[in-house]
Amino acid sequence: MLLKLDFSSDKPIYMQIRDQIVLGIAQRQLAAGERLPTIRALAEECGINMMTVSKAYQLLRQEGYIATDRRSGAVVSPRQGAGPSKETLEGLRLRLGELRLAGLSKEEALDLCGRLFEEGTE
Amino acid sequence: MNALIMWGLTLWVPILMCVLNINEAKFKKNIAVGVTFPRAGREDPDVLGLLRGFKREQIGLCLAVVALGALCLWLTWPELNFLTYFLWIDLVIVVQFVSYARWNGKLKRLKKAKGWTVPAVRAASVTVPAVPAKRVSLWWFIAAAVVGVVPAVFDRGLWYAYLLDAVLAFACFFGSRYLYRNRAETVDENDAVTQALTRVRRRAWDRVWLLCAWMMAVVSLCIFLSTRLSAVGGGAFMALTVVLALGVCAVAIILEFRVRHVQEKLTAASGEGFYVDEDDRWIWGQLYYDPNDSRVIVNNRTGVNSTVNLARPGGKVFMAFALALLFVAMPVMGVCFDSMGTGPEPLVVADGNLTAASWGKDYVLPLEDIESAELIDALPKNMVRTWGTGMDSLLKGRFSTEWGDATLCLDPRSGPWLKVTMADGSLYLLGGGETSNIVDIIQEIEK
Repeated sequence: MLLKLDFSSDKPIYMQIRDQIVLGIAQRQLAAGERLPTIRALAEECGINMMTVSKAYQLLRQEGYIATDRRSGAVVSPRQGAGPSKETLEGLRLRLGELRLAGLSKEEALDLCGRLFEEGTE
Repeated sequence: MNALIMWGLTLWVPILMCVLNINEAKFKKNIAVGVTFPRAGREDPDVLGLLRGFKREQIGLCLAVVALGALCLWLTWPELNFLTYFLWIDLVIVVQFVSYARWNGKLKRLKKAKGWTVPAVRAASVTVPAVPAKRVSLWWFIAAAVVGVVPAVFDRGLWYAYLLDAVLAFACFFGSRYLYRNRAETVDENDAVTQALTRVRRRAWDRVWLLCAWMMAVVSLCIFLSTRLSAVGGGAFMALTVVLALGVCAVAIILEFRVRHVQEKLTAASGEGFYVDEDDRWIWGQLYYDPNDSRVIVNNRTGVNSTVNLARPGGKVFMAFALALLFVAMPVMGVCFDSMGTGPEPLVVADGNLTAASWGKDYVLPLEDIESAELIDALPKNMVRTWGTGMDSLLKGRFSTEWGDATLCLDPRSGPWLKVTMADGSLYLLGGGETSNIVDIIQEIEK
């Protein structure tokens, strides 16, 4: 799996890392139990500060996407059936509002959501 | 003779640089002459035309600088030999750098015109760095250091030389670990290719450093043998060192080409869909500048080598040091070496001391400590330099001779010379000035 970091984006780098790892898990590029790089190794790989990676990992751990262990480092632990968090629902509401404003009908928006939901699961 | 060896050892460098640059015109990791192209670009006639032009220019420049080097060897004045030599090396570097930058600029402009420029994102593999890297064990370097220092047990006189070799052998471990950027060789989204490329490069890097460590250990053994087997001849140590250095260079070059070949083969199918394009971070295709990259040491885009990030203060300091070394220190060194080449100054007796001087170093011997002094017409055979200068016109420093260890400061081409034995048994062979001057000095000492 590849991270694609955009340094000219307004989105902070740690959020870009968090979002792409979440997407990677959802699209099954990262399997449950798969080991993630250590904070130092990922910082070296991306050429960024270790604190930035640490912040992204902390967020992922709080949200339950990864588990950290002293021996094996960080491993993927996708939440099974835990239901969407409050933040996810807020985000979804906002995105659906944006789709409506972009001129999509309910059917078109649901069709789009369905296709995006299936991405990486086939 | 020295000049011949010196030029002979380096005249092949522009040829090697030419071959490496010509190899740069082959697509590796989607890159040719420092410019990333999509798959379509590899078959584009305009791109291929420019790459052919680049190769032709490289061959032409190589022939020109080698011819100039050969000309310098035969035409230069002996007193300017080193200066000419170092200026020629600077010229070789500048010429190939400028040529590469010129063709890199042409290819970048063509890429832009063809609409192949992609948005700048930094691609970082998550899968590859998750697997712990297998590196050469520290114990191999420790073993080399131990082998390097063992001769000091049997030859206490040169302990510092053996210790230096051992320290350098051990330092190679730090080179292998800290002069390498632990970053995956990401070309596109194919994890298997990234993994293979990373492994091949890392292994080649570690091998080169391990080889250097063992070369230092063998150099130490060679010094020891040359002091013990003076019958082998004065040039034996030098010849062995040259053979070793050439051997290490040969292995490093072979590894470089092997890695490049693997990079070329494994990425032959890349360049469709997403592919890594970092052209905007490489000035003239050769100098890395990325303020968003916190690392100083970065890997070259192709091959095995490392370079520095010029956006970091450490990178700037390193580059300034390298440039100062190449374009200031080397010419200054040339002037100094050429001054040395004029031979020792005439021997002088003054203020109760006998002084033998040459550029940068004086040997001052108190007359009261001199036990005997005699005029010699022939130098001992099979002198082996253990420390100091060995030029056609100047032998200076410590030498192992058939008369025992001696300190020399003389021009071996013009005798007679002065053999001085001190009260503590140490031996000096000195020269410089007219024969009458040396005879006067002997009389003075005898008084």
